[in-house]
Amino acid sequence: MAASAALILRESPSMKKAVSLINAIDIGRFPRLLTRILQKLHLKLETVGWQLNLQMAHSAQAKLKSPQAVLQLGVSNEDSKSLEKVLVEFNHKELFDFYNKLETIQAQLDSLT
Amino acid sequence: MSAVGAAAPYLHHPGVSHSGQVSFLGAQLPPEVAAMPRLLGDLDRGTFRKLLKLVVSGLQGEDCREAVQRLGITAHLSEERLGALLAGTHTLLQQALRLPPASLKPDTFKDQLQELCIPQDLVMDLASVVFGSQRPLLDAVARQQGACLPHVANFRWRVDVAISTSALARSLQPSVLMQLTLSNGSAHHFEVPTVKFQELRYSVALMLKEMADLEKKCEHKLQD
Repeated sequence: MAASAALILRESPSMKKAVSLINAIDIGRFPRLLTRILQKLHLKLETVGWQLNLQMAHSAQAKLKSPQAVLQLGVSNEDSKSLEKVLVEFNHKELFDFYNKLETIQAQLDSLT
Repeated sequence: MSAVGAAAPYLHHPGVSHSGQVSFLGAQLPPEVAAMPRLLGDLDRGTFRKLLKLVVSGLQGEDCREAVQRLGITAHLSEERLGALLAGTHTLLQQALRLPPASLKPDTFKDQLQELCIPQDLVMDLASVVFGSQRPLLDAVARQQGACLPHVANFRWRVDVAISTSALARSLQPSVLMQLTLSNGSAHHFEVPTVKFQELRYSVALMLKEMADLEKKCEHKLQD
């Protein structure tokens, strides 16, 4: 009899189906299934691309001349079968804040050597 | 000019003022704005100010339907007249707010409204919305309405050092784990090998430099 604990996983139809499928698997094959799932979850940054644009107008504002940076992060799992391109936009301040965070990370990396 | 009355907007090329400048309302005067002088008629300033407040709330994305109904009742305005006044005021403000204050100056704005035969005191009320203390907030709301790619909502990271794994014996290589949550709600969790991290850091530094150069160029060239 379990004490009342908050459910971490939502009891959705797909979740119920997943549980019944997992229960039906041969117990010997389960570690391999786990490895494959973890491989899919383990994503790596493969490519970095960027673009600098000058936004002149949009639907609600004209005559802007506002610089916008777009960063394209190519992320894939270890199989390298599919590269998901994550696009992120920054204005000047946002890009500066992001850069400062990267510098903090660098300081951490430096402290390890 | 005042003797010409509501016919004035139609007597010269719509949208072009006496000075030859194209109106902030565009070359073709929107019909809901053209109808304004006739609709405003004998409307008292207090009522117009209440109406203006509602339009500004609407521009900021608030639901004003109940307040509009109440105004119609207390000011004895027919649904038709109220609707037309809201539409005209909304378009007028929206078009003025599209342009930065450096581009559409207060005097030009007031002159162009006067040419439309909008009463002077109402012109002042409208100008106080476009060029007053609320402008930064209205600009912030407008910025969010444009089409754009997702921005970073949250950036969390961790530095890991892999000592050994069940698969390969690795040297003590650090790696960075990043968790990016974007403004569209998507979350991206990935590992960044050291070499890639350097590439990312270099790219962002280069983007910042290019951006600063671009901003300097904008100040000098691209003048309105």
